[in-house]
Order: sequence, then structure tokens, then C-alpha cells
Amino acid sequence: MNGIEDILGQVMASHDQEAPAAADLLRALHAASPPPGRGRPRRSLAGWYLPLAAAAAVAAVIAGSAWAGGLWGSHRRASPARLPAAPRQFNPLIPNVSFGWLPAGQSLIQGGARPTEVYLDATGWALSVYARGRCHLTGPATALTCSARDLGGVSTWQVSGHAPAVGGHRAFWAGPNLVWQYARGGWAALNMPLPSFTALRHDPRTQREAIKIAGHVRFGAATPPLVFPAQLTGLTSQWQVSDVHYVAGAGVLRADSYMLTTGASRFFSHVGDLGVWANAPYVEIHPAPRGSTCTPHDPAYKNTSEIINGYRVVVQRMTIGGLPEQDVCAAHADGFWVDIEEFGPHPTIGVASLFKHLRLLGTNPANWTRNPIG
Amino acid sequence: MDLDDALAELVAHSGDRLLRVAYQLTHDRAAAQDLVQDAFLRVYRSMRRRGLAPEDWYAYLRRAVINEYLTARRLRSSSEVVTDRMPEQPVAGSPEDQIADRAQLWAALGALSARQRAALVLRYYEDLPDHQIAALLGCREASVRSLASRGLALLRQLAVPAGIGKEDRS
Repeated sequence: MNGIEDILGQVMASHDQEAPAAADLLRALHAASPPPGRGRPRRSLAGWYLPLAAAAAVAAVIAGSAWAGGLWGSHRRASPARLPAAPRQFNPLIPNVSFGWLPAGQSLIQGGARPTEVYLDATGWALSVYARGRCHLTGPATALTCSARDLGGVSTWQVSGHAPAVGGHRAFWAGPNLVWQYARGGWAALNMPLPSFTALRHDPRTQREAIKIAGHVRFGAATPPLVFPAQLTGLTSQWQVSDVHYVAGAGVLRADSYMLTTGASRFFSHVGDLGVWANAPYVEIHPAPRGSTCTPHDPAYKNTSEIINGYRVVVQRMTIGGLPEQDVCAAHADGFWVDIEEFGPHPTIGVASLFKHLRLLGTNPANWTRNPIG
Repeated sequence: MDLDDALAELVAHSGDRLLRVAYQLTHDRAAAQDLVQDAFLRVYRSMRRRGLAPEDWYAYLRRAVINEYLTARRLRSSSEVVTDRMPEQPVAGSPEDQIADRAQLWAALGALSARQRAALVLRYYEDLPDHQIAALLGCREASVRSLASRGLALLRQLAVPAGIGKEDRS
């Protein structure tokens, strides 16, 4: 029996014939937008050059009576002035948001928090909640655009139609998503396990589930603790933790990656597709898979093997997108795989030095900490 | 060559390949087509500005497809099996069982996160080295290794009961 790595490519290639054909794609590219209520909503080439016409078509979809009937809710809209304000920033050291209800058999898998956005992923459902001022509804509710500066990305949801109000707040269907204003100046988006708005239209059960999930999202409520299996000690007070990603399990939310920032941290949008932060070490720590390694020793890079704090580590230096990068990795450190990576020509602290500040807390979650900088 | 001709040539040159990559990511024909369609529309605008020949554009289009897939995190297939257990666990050995193994592996890919799946598709389907995958995913090379490692570990959990990759766990 072959290993998964050996046959994965073959398995993928065996499904090639199921992919759509380029001829269909060309037809779709040249096709005009379908009338409301028929076919998949697609952008046509004309839409790029006739934005007003495209906007009008979207508005027509929203206003169309076939879409705005009972199935699509009452369009109740609470006055934004009466809503409590959304937080200007989220604290990355707490979950901030939790699912109060999920369909049977569903559970939280992972989540994350950064100052501008928190997110939760359950099996098939993905929730993003944005801080105040990060999202803007364009014109007559044609699209919701949300930006997260610390991620370097912008998400846009094209509105497909009105949805029932969520907790009295205005809401819209946007493709296979429900977007709603959860507080004044704050929006949330729930992605559903469906491929398109067309599929959603014919799936009232998923619509109901989405509304119920959204209505039960809890803000600031008690959740399993967000804990870190390692602590950085002896660092100066200029460092703070940002962009925490965690995994749910064993009664806790285990942080498995985060970023350390100071006032000297800078974002470089041209590196990679989404950009990277310089002078901001990225820390990853998670249980070491059996047989895990740090890296294939690529002769193109400068690698050194060292012992730091009793752990064998590989220190690597390279350049990515024109930006110097350094990395320290320990494949087996008290049951963990640990990696610290930092971009920038003049790092505030080298990754090897930072590793010396790292204190691993063992594999028992009872010994983990809520404060990754001690 | 006018723009429509250029677009047609671009689709003829790269369309099928991109659609296959998009299908590997989404496991859904309609979602794959939407993904690639959006990528072409973006590139079409760039062609007006830059006028590059279609041969230069596959990598750019692939990046657009990957970026759209990851940024949106929205193109999950209704047919995708999002579960931590496979429904059937045939005994390995016979050719029929091997076919079942591979079907389970394909289904198990649907249980991975978008970034894990993208990392595996780019590594094992597109045969890209990790540093190129890192550039495409907008992350560090170590993150690619981590994504792939965790993705493979999950696939082993899901597919090993059917026999695939048993020796990897030893």
C-alpha cells in the first residue's frame, strides 16, 4: 500500500474529467446576466464596463418581488442609532465571540482573533465578525465590503437579497452567506455549506439554520479558555500578541499560532498574495506529528543546526519577495513542533534570541497559560 | 487581435487547466467555474493595461484563483464531506477496495480547511515547490509545511481505516 503522499496526486488527477470545460467558461464569460430568479448570478464582461447597469441589475434582484416575499423575511430594520456600538478593536487574547447554537452534529473546529476581526469555523460553517468601522455597505445595499488592515485583505460580499432580520438587525443574503449588522458600525458574515445563492434559494432548512446560528452568536460570553502551550518570558513590555489562531479540543481553545508586534512592526503588502508583517515574529506551536521535520535542507538557503534551551533547532535565513526572512524551527520540543519566523532587514529581535525566551509548558492543557507573554 | 480574441485565446490556453485546479480546490463544478470566471475577468482588465501575451498569464491566473478561493473562504461544495469520520471503512487489499480507498481519500480532502487543501493541491497536483506555494498562499514557507503536514495527518486519520498510508503511521 502506498503512502498518502505517493497517491494523492494520482487521486486528484483521477477526478480531472469532472471539472468543467473551458468552452463552458467562455460561453459564461460572454453571456449576459441571467434575469432575476433564473440561473446562477454571474458577472458578465459588460458588468466591468457598465457598472451602473450592473448595480441596477443587482438592485432589481433585491427589489424583485419574487425574491422579497415571505421566504426572504420581513425586511425589518432596526435603527442603527439604537444599537450598541461594535468594539473598535478586539482583544486577540480572548475568543470574543462564540456560537450559541449549531445544527446537530456540528461543533467548533477552530477560530482566531485579531484586532480588526474575529472568526470561528465549524464543520461547514464559517463566521467572521468585524470590528467597528471595518465594513461598509455600498450604495443601496449592493455589496458589503470589509477590510482587515492587519490581514492585508478586503472581503466583498455581493448582496443577493434581503434576509430576515437577525435579532432585529438588518441582514442580507450574499451568495451562500448571511451578512448582518450585529452592532452599530459592526458587521458579521456567516458562510454556509452551500456553493451558491442558487443552492441557498432552494434550501429553506439551511436558511433557517443560518438565521438561527446568527441569532445565537454570543459576544463576550464565557467560552472554553483560550490557552497557550508556551510562554515567552523576560521580554520587554513593548511586545504584544496579535492575530491569534486557535484550535478547539479537550475542553480548551488551544492557540497554535500568533504574531508578536511592537511599534516597529510594519506591513509589506507586496510580499506574497496577502502581504506579511516585518519586525513581527510569527510563532507557531502545535503537537508534533509523528515523523515531523522542520524542513528539507534546501541548499539554496543557509541552514544551521543548533541546540537552544536543550532543543535541537534549525535556523534558516532566506529572502522572500525581496524581504530578508529568518526562521527557527524545532521539530520535536517536548512533544511540540515549534517555529518562529520573522521578516525584515533589521529585526527588533532575532528568532534564535526569541526562542531562548520560550518556555514550553508541556502537553497537559491544565498547565497552559492564558498569557503568552509572562 | 482585439480583446475578445485575446480573451478567447487566454481561455483556450489556460482555461481547462485552471478549471481543473479550481475543481480540486472546491470539489464543485459550478463553484470552480465561478472561481475561474472571476479570475479571467480580473485578468481581462489587466490585459487592457499591460497587453501581455496569454502565455505569460497562467501563473497570474492561478494566483488569482487561489487568492479568490482563500480570501473568500466561501466556495464550499454542498457535496463536500465535512466530517471527521468516513462512513464506510472497507478492508484493504482487493482492487475494488483500492478504488474505495481512493474515493475515501478524495472525500477526505473535503474535510480539510481551505488553506490546507490549497497547500496540498499546489504541492501534489500542481507539483509546486514549497517556496512557490508560500508565495501563492501569502504565507511563510514554514507555514506551508505546517499546512501540508496537518492536512496529511488529517487525511491519514480519515483514510487510514480504509488502508491508505498505513505505513505512514508506523
